[in-house]
Amino acid sequence: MTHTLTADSIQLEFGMSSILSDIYIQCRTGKITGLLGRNGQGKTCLMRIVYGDLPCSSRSIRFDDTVVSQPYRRPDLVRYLPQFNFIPPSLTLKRVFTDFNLEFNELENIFPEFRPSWRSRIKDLSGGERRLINIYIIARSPSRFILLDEPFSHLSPLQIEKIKALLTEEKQNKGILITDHLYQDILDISDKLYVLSNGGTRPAKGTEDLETFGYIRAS
Amino acid sequence: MKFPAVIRLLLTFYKSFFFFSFLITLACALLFWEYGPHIFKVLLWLKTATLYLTFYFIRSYRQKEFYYYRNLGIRDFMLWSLTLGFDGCLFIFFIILTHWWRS
Repeated sequence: MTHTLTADSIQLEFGMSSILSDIYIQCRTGKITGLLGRNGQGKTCLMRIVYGDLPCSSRSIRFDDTVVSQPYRRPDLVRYLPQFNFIPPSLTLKRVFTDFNLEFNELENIFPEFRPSWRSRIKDLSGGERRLINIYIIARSPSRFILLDEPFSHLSPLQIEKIKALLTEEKQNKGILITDHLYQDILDISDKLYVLSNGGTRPAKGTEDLETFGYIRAS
Repeated sequence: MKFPAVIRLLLTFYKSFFFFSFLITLACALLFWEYGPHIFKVLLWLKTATLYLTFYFIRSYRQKEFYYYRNLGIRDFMLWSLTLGFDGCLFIFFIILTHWWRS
């Protein structure tokens, strides 16, 4: 079944300066929606507003045309990967996979390097491995939509390729909104693309549009 | 999410400040043993103040970990109210126990 997540009418101000004002984003099951923008344009703020844990003066977040005021209370609707690692470092991988009701052997199949780590604590993993586990549990957990904020940071090129394949597989069951500065990787997997510029979202198609909106420099 | 899984998550969160909080409770029980019921008000304020400090430090320094619980459907309010409520009950229990032993 196809589901739709729509975010618009968003107004976010910090003091006198308006950060977000002209926003329209739509995500659908089966599609990866990319969100690009220069630093400080409000990508993380927008993600958190869609997730519902950042208050703002106005917003409309709709799941299948039904307004949900606090989506973060509904992990069946949406889960959020912040740009930092959020799993408590003292937990073991076994415990994390139990909490999220996921199969560890499925992780082993994609990333065999985790085979001996079943009982390891998160704090004993390397930075890249920690990030990988954070992304994996959000990507794999059942939910209609997932919001991924800079998932590729700290990952090696090989790991990024595997995560891209995982997300492409997962989009069959869910809608994905993703933002990262590795724009080429975002372009590779996105079915739909928005650029966040001057407080608003602009639909984009490829690198030419990214140049037009000032996200990358024209060569 | 199933009930035992919620309890397990609440316990994990409670473990992050249990040691410090339990030390304060034991210290309060010891003071109660020494000076009697007339200092109960002072001990109650001491316990409340340390619980507020715990709340402040965890909110400031372990804020990132709240996304773990949110992604599992546990709201911040639920985490705090149940764990601090339980800790408060533990404090009252130890004070009553001390009073019972003393008399």
